[in-house]
Amino acid sequence: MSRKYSKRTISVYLSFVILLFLICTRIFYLQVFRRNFFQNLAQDQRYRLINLQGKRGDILDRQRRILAKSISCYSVFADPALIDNPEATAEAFSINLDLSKEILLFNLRKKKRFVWIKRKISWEEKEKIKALKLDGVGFIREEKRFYPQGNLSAAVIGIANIDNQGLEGLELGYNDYLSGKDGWVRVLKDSASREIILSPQIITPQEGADIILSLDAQIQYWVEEYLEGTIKSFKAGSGSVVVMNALNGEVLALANYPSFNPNELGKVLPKQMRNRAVADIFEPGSVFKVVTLLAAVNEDKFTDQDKFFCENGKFKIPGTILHDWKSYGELSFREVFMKSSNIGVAKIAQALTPDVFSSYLKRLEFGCLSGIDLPAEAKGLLKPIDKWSRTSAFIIPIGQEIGVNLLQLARTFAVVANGGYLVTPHLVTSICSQGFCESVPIKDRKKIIPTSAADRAKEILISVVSEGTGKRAQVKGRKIGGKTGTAQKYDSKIKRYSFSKYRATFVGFIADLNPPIVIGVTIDEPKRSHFGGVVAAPVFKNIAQKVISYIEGAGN
Amino acid sequence: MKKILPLILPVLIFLPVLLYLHQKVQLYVEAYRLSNSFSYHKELIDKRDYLMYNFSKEATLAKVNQWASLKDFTPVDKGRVMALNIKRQPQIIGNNKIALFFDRVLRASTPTSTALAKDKR
Repeated sequence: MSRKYSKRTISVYLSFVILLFLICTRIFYLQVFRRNFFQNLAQDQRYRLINLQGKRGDILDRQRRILAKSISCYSVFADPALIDNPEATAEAFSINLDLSKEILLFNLRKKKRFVWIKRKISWEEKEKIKALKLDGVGFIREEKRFYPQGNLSAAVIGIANIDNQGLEGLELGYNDYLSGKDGWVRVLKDSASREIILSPQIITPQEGADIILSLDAQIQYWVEEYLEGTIKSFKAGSGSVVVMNALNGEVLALANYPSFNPNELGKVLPKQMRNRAVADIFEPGSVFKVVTLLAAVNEDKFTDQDKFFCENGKFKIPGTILHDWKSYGELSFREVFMKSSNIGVAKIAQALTPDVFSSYLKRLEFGCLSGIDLPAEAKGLLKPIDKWSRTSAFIIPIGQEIGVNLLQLARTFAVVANGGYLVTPHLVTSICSQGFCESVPIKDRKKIIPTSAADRAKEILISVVSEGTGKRAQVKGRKIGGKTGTAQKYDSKIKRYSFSKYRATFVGFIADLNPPIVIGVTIDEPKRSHFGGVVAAPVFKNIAQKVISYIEGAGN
Repeated sequence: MKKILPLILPVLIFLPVLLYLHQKVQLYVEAYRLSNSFSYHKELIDKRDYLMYNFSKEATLAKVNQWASLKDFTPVDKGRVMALNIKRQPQIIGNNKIALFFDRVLRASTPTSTALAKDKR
């Protein structure tokens, strides 16, 4: 049987075959080569990923008072393509969010599908915007760092940026512990774009760990109050105070003035954020004589009755003339420290020899970091002995030609107060996560001088407060030891020590308190008076009184 | 049997299919409820956070200390014991029979009766 097809039939047949082939090729292309693209497109339409934020950990003081916390908040955004009337929308935002209408209009007219209107708005603001039912406007849930105590210990706690990453202080130093890890949940979307949690795929978020500090917010409050009062009353430039447990180096308070409110970062100047107690190095002046005292008592070369001629207030040393603030003739070893004679101390240091004195500087770790768990600590300035000038051996023992921070001074006084141990100051005592707390190991304290030597130094420093230059630090009925320091500041313009700029310092300890507490106070450029015994010692006294009643009250 | 089977078979097939469908619909209903609860939960957390925020802003340690110094407030020593003479209040028994039954059986008188007394007042 033979059939004859017309050309037309064949051409129609062939065109159908070709069409079918093209369709098959297209299907093959879409199914095989573009498979992933279309699969993702379909999934994007059906599924939504919701971000589950891993909350940043809290920072708490030793009584578990919250110092820093993360709270949820909302950020408002807009899709300009969906906004019909940008003028009205900008007007509404401007009134309710206190924003510039011009900037809003500029943003809303951009050819973008996403613009931030304002990040981290308050609950009230969010409710107001929500009630307006504006088209093309949405909210994103975020986290906001909140510091409930405001200014209190701001420089210690530090700050976190808008993306909740630590920028300063403990927020930066412990960022790895505090940071949470975000999680995700994939949910179905219905036709109205509502989320349906149907067999969701979840990556669980991880909350950041809480950190517990040795800091006591109540003591910190008193310290800041007295520091601010003193700076205002003496019209000083700045100041710092540290309160430390002499036995283990736990920092109970660390204050700086000027301070700042971390909740209002927009108003903060960079210099206000400086943690001066650890980042500022200064020439300590007479307060540094404690190093000479420790070296002298440990070398056991002098008795308390040994006499030193103080040259009636003027002593020619290589390169310069050494002065005393008051002219003295003969002073006993104890009186040299009680009356804070520069000449007497220089002579004691000379008798010890520069090598021996220098070995105590190393033993007390001057020129090294104190080891506090805060970023940006300055390690100080200490010339190696082979670079000392002929003057250095006379003036370093009286606290010149050396740079220290307040913490280094406080830990030196802790050696006297705790029987000869060099402790490491620290702020974080434990880290807690998911209900479990782990103590942060304390660095071993080093025995650097025998207890008998430390006790002798302690007795002399107690007499400095009871009978010497530190009388204004005396707390009635208590054993208070300490040393005043009045340091002239070096003026780089005139290339010599200034006669108008001073630093007043007092560092001391409460010897009969359990545990013994070291308090260091330094006030920069006070105006009405510049003596450590007048400016800084009363701050010590006020803080000591509060600390004694607080610690003994808690003990009872 | 052969005559009944064609009648029963659709029913036998229909019922499991209906049950299956019902389960599917229920799953979606529960999923919607869960989604609503989740967003409500988030909303409550936000409200809690903002209440905490507003409260903490107004009750800082600085403000508490300022208030204490203004009012000359001194905390009582821990050694001083304060005793209050609290008279036992008469119990008011309510009519809730289930609660009364549990009271008798479990002798859990205090919480239930106190709650009932409050209700009564």
